[in-house]
Amino acid sequence: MIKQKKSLGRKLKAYLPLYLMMVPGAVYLIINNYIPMAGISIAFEQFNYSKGMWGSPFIGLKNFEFLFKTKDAWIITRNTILYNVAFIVLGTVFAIAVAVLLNEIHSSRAKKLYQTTILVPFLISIVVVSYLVYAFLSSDSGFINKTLLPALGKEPISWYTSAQYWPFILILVNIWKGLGYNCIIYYATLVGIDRGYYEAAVIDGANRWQQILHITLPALKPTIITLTLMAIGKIFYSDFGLFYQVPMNSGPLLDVTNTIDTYVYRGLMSLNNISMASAAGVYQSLIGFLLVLVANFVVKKLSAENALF
Amino acid sequence: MKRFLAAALATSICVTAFAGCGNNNNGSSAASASKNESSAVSTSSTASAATGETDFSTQDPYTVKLLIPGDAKTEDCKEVSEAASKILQEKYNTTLDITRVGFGSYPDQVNLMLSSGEKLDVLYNNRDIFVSAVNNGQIVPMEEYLSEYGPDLLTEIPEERWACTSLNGKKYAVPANKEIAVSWGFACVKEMADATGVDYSNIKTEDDLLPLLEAAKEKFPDVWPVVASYGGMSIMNTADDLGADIGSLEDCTNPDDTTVVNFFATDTYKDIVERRYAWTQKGLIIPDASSTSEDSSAQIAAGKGFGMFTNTKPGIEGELEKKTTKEMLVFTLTPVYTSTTRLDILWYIAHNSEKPERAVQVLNEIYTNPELENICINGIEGKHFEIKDESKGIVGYPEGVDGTNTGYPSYPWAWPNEMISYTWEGDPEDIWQQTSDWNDSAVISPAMGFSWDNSSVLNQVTACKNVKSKYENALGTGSIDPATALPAFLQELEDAGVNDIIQEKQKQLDAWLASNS
Amino acid sequence: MVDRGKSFQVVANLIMVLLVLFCLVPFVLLIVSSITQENSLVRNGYSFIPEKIDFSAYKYLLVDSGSIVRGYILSAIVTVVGTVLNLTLTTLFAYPLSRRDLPGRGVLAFFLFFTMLFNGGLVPSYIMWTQMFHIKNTIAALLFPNLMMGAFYVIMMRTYFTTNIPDAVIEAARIDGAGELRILLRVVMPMSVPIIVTLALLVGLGYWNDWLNGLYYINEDRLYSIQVLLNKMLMDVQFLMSNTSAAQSLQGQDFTLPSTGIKMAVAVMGALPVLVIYPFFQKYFVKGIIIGAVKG
Repeated sequence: MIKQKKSLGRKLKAYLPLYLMMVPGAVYLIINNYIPMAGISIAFEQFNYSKGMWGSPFIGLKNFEFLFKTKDAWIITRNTILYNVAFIVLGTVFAIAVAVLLNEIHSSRAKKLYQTTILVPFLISIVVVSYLVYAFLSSDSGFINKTLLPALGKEPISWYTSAQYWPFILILVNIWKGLGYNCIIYYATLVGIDRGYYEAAVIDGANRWQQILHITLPALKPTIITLTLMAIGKIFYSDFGLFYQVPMNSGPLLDVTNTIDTYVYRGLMSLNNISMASAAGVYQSLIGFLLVLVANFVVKKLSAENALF
Repeated sequence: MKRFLAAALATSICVTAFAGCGNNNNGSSAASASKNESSAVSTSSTASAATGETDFSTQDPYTVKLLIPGDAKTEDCKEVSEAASKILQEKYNTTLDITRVGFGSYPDQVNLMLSSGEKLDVLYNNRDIFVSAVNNGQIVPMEEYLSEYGPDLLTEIPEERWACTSLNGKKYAVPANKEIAVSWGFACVKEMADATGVDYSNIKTEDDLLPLLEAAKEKFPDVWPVVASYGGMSIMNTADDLGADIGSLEDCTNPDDTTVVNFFATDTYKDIVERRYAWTQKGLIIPDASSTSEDSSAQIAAGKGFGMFTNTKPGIEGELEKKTTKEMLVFTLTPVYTSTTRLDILWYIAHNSEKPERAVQVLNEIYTNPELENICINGIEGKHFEIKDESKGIVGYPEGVDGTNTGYPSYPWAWPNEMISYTWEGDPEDIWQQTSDWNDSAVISPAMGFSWDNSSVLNQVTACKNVKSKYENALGTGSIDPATALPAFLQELEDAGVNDIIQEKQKQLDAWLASNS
Repeated sequence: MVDRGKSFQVVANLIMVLLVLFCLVPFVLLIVSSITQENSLVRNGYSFIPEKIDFSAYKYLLVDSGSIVRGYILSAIVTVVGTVLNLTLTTLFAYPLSRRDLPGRGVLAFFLFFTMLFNGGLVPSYIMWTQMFHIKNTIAALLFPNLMMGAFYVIMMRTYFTTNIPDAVIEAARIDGAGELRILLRVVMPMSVPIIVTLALLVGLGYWNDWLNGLYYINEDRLYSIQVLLNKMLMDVQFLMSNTSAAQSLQGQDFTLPSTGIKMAVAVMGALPVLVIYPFFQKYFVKGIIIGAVKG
């Protein structure tokens, strides 16, 4: 008993420096993230500015009702989840493919050029991306309708009223914009892989494809799992700019572009009701949280060390 | 003598007639004349303050912080605040702190400042948040302070306007004195209209435009006869939307009809969208009008468009001319009418104001003192503006300054009372006179003064807004076929609970009418 | 074998070139639109070959609204200081988390991850930062809220540490008598250059591109960073699109809405400095590879 205590004390002493290192970050998280979390209470109140967060009347789940009351609830949930799944799967596949390819290229000058340029789309704000998309797709002044389609002898297409194209357009835009960013994260892991493994593999007669399959991808596995788990936590969220501004808020496209975020924005615009807005946020967080718990549990069963927590 | 009279009139405009300035056939010219002699003005203002029989100059010192949209440089704001404070200091021992925030960030900034309890006294905001701002405690009633600290506001703002900014029997906001009526119409390039040879002198309705548009299409095949602005096109109507949300009086120029209806389900709306769809099919409306990201004037300026639907008001031709750089022709297609919604800019007292009475006092002074109002609107003479014509009260930019580089841009309409300030070069000299005549000429909605409270049907309102954004612009610009889209629109609205909104609105309106008759 | 390697290089380069075009072509259109004369743009539509070249959008941004230069300087300072602060906090938090033997590791990781999922929303954060820390209209407002440490990057770094730093290396250093901080600084960090540089780049981009903090916490023009300045112009358009009554009132004013050219120029001005600086970062990636090779 005494011995155990002593060893625990010694153990803690040994780890004290590690805990101390975490203090500044933990303090920051408490200030920046945990204290404001008290604001979640707003979602259950009829928020009154004069009375403040603590004095406003409690009204239970009433603020959440608007999210479920209509037929649209199904459409916006479906859209949000399906797009996110597509973004996670395709985004990861493309980013890894490009990172691997980049890693295989010998010329360091070329590498530098490629890396810089694929990051360009990430630097442009989504509002400007929406103007760019418009520059291509506009019915009467867009590059595609005015230059490309006539050159191919095809009829112009009314892009902003034709919903069938938009799932592809939105996925394409998302990949275009996020590719460089995701690719860099994977690339950073790749360049950290011990070259020795590859040399050993070459000696064993492994070809390039086998090297990728047996060395590169397993090395990326922890990063892939981590990034995917984090993305699952955000599965009920959507990039407002991508779904609202890029389709130019065009009504006929709403069935394929309306997500939870845009629905909330359209519904609450000029209603000036932060309680309902924060209810929507709590709902999104909660679902994400539950999904992550499940996913993390599964990962823990399969390979404990890659679990998030 | 004449000066004195002018000044006296300036502080007592708008006493009697409803829609603003009824009896000022000479009122507004008097107002501009008064500005030539600021000393005369301050004398008169002192006189009016004296009627309150209290000397306010010995009050405790206090700073009133005022928030208004429209970016300006911090330094320039300070300078203007100092100049304004000089006037207020002497009379009320009060200083003014003007903070200007960009249009885009204004709504966020207002909500944040009101939520945090930081210093804020007086603020500008739009009509559409009025009821919610009252309900969620963002603003406080000014009722109890008015008789002592805002006597001129009480007398100068007609009771009918106060009704529009009152809730539960209390006055909550000062409505900006500006044009408060509207009519809808169509504007097009005069030179091109003339070139078509069509006689346009008898165009009275939207339907009458057809021959002109067709002729324009034929004569200028590269130009779209009708262009849209940011995906929308004004609907030529006289409906009163009763504050906000779905549920309108279909024709508010009819004083006997107080039935709340779904405007999108009326024949009036059906006719409009069917006509516009037919026009789009004929190539008279720019394709995909509902997704344009351009201003219609910019498209006309670029020679891509011939005309556009617009709101009309005094001086509209001149305004459009500035933006399109072309001489414009404007056809008025609806009567001039007004409703609660038209008092669209309101001045509130923030709930976090420590001394709301002092805020009211400052509003009162800004509303009535031309010298102060002018500093607030136009800034420092010689730096932000210059007097171009003393006698007519016309100002312009000083040498080397223009709209793109001034440190204190002037948006007169945003302030409580633009009608006592200078007129800008390029505007009609008698713009304020024209504006008040226009206000007087408006047909008044029978529901004028009614404020709609949507708090009991918020779920339906949010659902309907989403349905509206799906169909409204596309139908209104003729981008989709109403034969299928309109029934779908109405069905979805019904599913979203539009009838609950309309019922609730009718109930509130009936109660309001009963208490006001 | 050599031949196969060569042809692979050709194919790989070809694919990358196509990808680069895919990323760059819209950017070229962006630049071209920003120097196309406004009227010809509206009339003729968007095109890669401008009919009339016109630099007035840039002149407007650089000369007429003169605060651009100050905005650039402010953004640069905030980006550098912010990135250093962020990386310090991130590394200090990530390293202990990466230690498999740390008691309470799971709880701490959860404490970190939880912040990614739940937040109290803007209003409570604003109240706290302005009322408790009084950062409104100070440079701290651009540094502290939200950007100084985020769970995402901490987890990325932790993952890198766990996979790329063998326990044996740390154990060896400990046997040599090194303290934890010394191990982190002398052993772990040198082995982690790729992830540090990568995160520095991403965090730096986060600070450079941030305009929300400026929007919420700043309303004095001396503290407008470049992105705040640029985004303001775009936001005014958004506002007018959703607010017809103000739009009508503004019609007669000198309020000039940014033309398409200016919007595009705004995007170019925001992105350009990063494109210029970015290549300098890249040599560290190369260094990372070398270190990676040496360590085996």
